[in-house]
Amino acid sequence: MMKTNCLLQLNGLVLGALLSLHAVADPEPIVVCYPGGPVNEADANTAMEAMLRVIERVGEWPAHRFNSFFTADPAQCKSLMTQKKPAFAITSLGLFLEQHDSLPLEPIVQPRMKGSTSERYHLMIQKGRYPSLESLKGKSVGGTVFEEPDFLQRIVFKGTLAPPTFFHLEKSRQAIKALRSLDKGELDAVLLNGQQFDALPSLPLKSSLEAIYTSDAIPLMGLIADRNLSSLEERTDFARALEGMCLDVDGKKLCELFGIEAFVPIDKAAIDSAMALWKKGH
Amino acid sequence: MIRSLLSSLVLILLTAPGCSSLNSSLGSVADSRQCPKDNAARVVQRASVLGPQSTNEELACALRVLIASSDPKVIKSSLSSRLSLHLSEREVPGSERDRHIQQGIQQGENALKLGGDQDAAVHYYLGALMGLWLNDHPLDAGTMLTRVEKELNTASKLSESVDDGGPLRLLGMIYLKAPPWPAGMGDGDKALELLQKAATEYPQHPLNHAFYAKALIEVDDRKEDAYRQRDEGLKALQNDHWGQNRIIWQAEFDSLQKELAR
Repeated sequence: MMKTNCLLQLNGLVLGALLSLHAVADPEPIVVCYPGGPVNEADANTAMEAMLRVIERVGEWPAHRFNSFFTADPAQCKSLMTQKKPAFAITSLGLFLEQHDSLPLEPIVQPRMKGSTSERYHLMIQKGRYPSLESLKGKSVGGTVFEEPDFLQRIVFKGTLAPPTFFHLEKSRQAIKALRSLDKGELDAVLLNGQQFDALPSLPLKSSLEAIYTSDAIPLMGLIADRNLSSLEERTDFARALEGMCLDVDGKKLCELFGIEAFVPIDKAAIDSAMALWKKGH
Repeated sequence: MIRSLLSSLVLILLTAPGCSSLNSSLGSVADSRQCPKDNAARVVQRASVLGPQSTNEELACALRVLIASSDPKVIKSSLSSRLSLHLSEREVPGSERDRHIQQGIQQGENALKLGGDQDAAVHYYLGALMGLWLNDHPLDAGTMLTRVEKELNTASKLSESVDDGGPLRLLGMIYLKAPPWPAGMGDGDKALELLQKAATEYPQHPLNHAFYAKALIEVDDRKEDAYRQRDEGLKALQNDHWGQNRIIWQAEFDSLQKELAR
């Protein structure tokens, strides 16, 4: 009897050891940075978890292979990248450019929205109110896109002006609020990203607006990878999973929610242009 | 991508549906052997006492009787949707909660078909259940959210006072939490306006204050005003008649406290 019990215990130990070899490892972190985003961390993490489950299924990974860490704060984003050491992350172009020198980051895929993988920023005024960009010096400018001043200066305004000092910036959590203020004459201008600008016709505003400044085409950011923490195979697998996402039943719902037509391989030339502009600096 | 991704996906709503296969079979409520003998007329008579202070069994048995009734007056009332909502809110997200939600939505849709469309409560509880579904199934937002807004707007136009300002409260939260323009219907100004109205005109409901406080923080960063609303809400929460809802709603105040502490 004792011999049998010992054998059972030994088998149990061996089985346990074998099982533990195949046990699910700790989930891999995915850092998600959304500077100035109008969402709180709890809400965003819930949303990201739903998205990750879809990506895992499309990519044929086990559920909970990945775990997301969200922040809307650029400084916190840098901390998360350092602490969590994610192999993959979703960040803004500004944060990518800022960290590119210190981390071996490589964009993998980007979204295509309304047929384009880039967007332009537009500085909107009430029609005819100001003759030039220069005439807006010291004036009040609203918008949701002010969390990354270096990105605005170096990329959006191509180093020609520093928005925090050139304008009087009035951050808003929602673009619609800023536009209503512009409409009422409470703001002199509003800086819009591409998605906001495209949706302007849908807003019932009293005044006509015009763009006094339009940026060059700026690439939309999708997934980035740390080349040292991810293998080529992993980057390829993740890219393939995202590229297949909008074709999947649940993935399609996510893509439709985001307004994303597809995830496509990164436009390297566009990224290289942005990097060159970034390096040019002020 | 982040902008559109998160702005489209983040939804915290208070109820939900939009499912294609709704099951309102009697087998999906309490086993009849566990329920006392009852009839729809008696259940309707005691409608005002069926609610947060009722046990799950009382709610489930009453619901069973209502679902079995073929009386058009019973079908077109909001009572069965309301009881389904109570039962849903007491469950954690999962198949049991899904079942209660789906059942309630079916009852709400039936009520609308049979002439309950001029009853604010029918629209309100239907919208509330749909929102709860979306809370648990955010991927359905694309097809559902507009319907939720429509039901709550209709409820609000017919009567804002249902459930102590319920239509104002839930609509306000939709506008607070839905993806902001241009990705969605989220609108901080509208949220603030509706939730302020709910908290001011219906101060007896704790969640009116909790949600208004959240809007004050998230839209305007007005923490001092938010603290005041939190305190008003906690006072209202101490009222005895909230029954089991007090435990559920305490979680909202706990999450509010975290936002205030940031």
